[in-house]
Amino acid sequence: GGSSGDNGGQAASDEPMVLRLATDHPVDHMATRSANAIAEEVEEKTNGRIKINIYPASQLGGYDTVYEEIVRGTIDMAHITIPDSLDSRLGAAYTPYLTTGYEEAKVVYAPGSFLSEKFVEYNEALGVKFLGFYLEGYIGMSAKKEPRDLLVPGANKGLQMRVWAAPAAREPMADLGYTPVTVPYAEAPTAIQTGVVDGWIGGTPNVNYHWVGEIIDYFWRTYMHAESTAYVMNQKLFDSLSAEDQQIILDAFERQSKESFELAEAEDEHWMEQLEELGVTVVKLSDDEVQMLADFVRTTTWPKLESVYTSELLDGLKAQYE
Amino acid sequence: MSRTDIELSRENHLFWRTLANIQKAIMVVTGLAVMLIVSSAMLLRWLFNTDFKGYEEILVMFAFWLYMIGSSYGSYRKNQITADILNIYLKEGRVKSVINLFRSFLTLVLAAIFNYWAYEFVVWGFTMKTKTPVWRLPMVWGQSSLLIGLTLVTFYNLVYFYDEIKLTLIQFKQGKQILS
Amino acid sequence: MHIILFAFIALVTTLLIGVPIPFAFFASSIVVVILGGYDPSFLLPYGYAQASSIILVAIPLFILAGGLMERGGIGERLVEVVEVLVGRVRGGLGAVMVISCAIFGAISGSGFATVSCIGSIMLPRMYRAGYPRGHCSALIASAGVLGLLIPPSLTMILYAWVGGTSVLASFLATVTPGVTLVILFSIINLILLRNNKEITVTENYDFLTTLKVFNKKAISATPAIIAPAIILGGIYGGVMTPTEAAAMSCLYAIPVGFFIYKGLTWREFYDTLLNSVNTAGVILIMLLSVMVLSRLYIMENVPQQLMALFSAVSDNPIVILLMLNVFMVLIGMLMDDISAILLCTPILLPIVTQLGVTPVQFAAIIGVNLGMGCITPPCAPFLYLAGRIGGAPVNEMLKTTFALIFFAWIPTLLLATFVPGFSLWLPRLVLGIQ
Ligand code: NA
Ligand code: NA
Repeated sequence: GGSSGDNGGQAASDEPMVLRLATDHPVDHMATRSANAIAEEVEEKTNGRIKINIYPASQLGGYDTVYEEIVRGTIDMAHITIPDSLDSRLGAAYTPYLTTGYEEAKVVYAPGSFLSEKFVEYNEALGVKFLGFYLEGYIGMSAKKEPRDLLVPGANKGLQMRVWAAPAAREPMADLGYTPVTVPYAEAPTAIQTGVVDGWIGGTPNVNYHWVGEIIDYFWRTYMHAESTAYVMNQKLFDSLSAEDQQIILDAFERQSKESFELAEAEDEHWMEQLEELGVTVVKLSDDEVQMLADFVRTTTWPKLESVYTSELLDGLKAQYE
Repeated sequence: MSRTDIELSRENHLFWRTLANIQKAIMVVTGLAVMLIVSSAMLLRWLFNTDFKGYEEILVMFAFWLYMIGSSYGSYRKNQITADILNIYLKEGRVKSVINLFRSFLTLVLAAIFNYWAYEFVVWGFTMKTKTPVWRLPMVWGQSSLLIGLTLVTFYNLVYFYDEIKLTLIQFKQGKQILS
Repeated sequence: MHIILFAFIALVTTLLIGVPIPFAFFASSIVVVILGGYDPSFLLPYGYAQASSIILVAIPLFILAGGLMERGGIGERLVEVVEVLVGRVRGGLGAVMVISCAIFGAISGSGFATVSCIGSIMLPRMYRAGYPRGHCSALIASAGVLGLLIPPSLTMILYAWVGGTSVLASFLATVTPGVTLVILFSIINLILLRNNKEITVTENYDFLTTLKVFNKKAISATPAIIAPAIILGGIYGGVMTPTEAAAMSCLYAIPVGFFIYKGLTWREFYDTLLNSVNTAGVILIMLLSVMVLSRLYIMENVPQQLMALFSAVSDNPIVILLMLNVFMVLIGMLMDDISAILLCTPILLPIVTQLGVTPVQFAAIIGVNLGMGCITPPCAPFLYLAGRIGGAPVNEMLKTTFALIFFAWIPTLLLATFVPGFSLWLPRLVLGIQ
């Protein structure tokens, strides 16, 4: 073992430099296939100068601490949700209805987009090299029973929904008329099963299938939150590499990032079919319905998020729709 | 002088007592606070169908003060969890007192290192200004319990190490008298 | 590999000389940090983040609730009801004690509280009836473990948290093993005492009198019997999370203890609060140091290396599972259940899942195994506590203890290990998990 951050850049020519890549994803997730592909590509193109060890499934901790460790340099690279604990603007990748479908997501989260450029800037200020967004699909809403007036924003839905602890999740759900409840991720399935909550938001169809598939009866594709995780790396470590190795790393991550945009839709479709096979009623809201909900959230919820994300960032994001 | 003599002579020291009383006060306040925060969150959701927004952020801070002061109180009362095999299977005497001294020293050193890590952790929290997601409360409010708690743990271990030195010296003096 | 060896040596040496267990874990971490050349700055933040969970807040609250119910007089009322039902055979009070432990276990989160509460109520009565000291003390030591096998359970909360699995499912997984142990303990107790002429047996009531006495006792015990119903009904009925149930049972125990059974005074309340926070604190600092240690173990690939070691002996999953159990028995001989579960879960869970054991079944295996560890010397906290309460030297307790280990503990452990349905049928039924 040994922290590679300490001896980064001066690895002797015959000793490979071993980098640790931490991910949030289970071993059989598309993100793990991508991580393996990156490790292979980097090792091959650097002729074995750089080796990447993958620690999947949050083995090295949840995304909050993994990100902090990227800042410190005790973990070298990660594929995680960027937390907002060090800079509230970093929560903006999960802005509700920032996008309303895969085609939009390809533009908004693409390398070089307004959001990506901002993320490069914010991460750099913390000593983190931002290597690109990774689209895993769209977070859906699922529950054991149907809400009242699903399509009437603001009407009391009569559903208590587990949300993750962030304004981006809690505020729009409250505005739409759900009662948001914070339950730890690990307890979400039993909380739904026993009825402490009626349902939850927080997972793509894939996660829903594996985590609560046997328990839920309904799944709604609402396009409210893109599961927009990110590739990050310790900045100092990145800077210490030769220009050639830097380029190899940038290319490898960008390739998988771009490919995720192409794969996400099929991935979601696949797991929604699997959910249906379990007997879950999968409801795909129509374009008009999604647009209606998006308009509501953008006018009602976004002003509340302004203090968190800053108006500079939010205005820039809005400009994309105008 | 025996172990209990040493302990009793300190019991009435103003600083020693005040320190313990402050810990007890924090333990009572955090204990009640944790109980009331959790139950009111539950009752609000169950009876009024509303969520006590972001209560878990406040709860966890109280909980950490509870844990760390509770733990430092454990060092004060010498009831940290031990395997305690030696004390059961070894007879009183020189060997035991030397091992006691060594254990006491080792615990002190380990506590001090732990304490130093906590110091670095809190300093990092102040520099990075990490905040909770909903209320944007500084995380150091909870994290500093680690520094305070472990400082107390180190302090108590230091005092008890000093006790062990005294006791070992007594043990050896007595031993010499018996031998000579 | 040599890093892990030294880390393990550091752990065992510090444990043996009596360094508090959290610091022994920490000593082991420091060895890995030094030999592995790690920058330690991330370790405490990692531990802190792991321990900042709402689920863990259930620990002080369940300890407090158990303490309030013990001091408030609830334990005593429970014992009285059980006594009417099974107290009238030779050795029957032994069964009363075992069953009372199981019922008290449905209130209390800890085995320690169960031993001290039921033990201090039952042992004096049993001695008066002529029961042998060593036998009774050994029996309460084993039966006390039911406090952690019958939900709610601090040990299972910690297991679920460290293993990233459901608390409620882990609770349910240990119920059947717990009930099996109740039955086996009672039978073994009756067999061991069948020829003991010194035991006086209370006169047998006829059915009607029994019913009358039972009714009277049951009415006075109602508030006590409601307590487990609130806790378990609340969690499995979807009203509250485990943490909330812990808080509500405190809120329930306070008026019952103060006004109904009148066992609580302000002084007692204050003492109980202080003791509970103290106990929770010493557990949580251990959690913190074990999180640090297990993070280093993961970075050093300890589970994989251990698996390789086991596989080198045999690649038969049954043999590997047996070896894992032996490994845990050895750990259980060195430390108490909570420390042991915190140490074993992160290392062994990845191995057993490879062998096709689900985390929920492993809850039952590790629960029974390390529960047994509470009574296996040299480190046998329940045995010593029971000996202290019962005034019995450890050597007098050995005969019954070994009988219980060979004829109750080990058979139950084997069932939990090799018959998945044994522990899984209940979580499957209630929670619908696979
Ligand atoms: Na219990
Ligand atoms: Na043991």
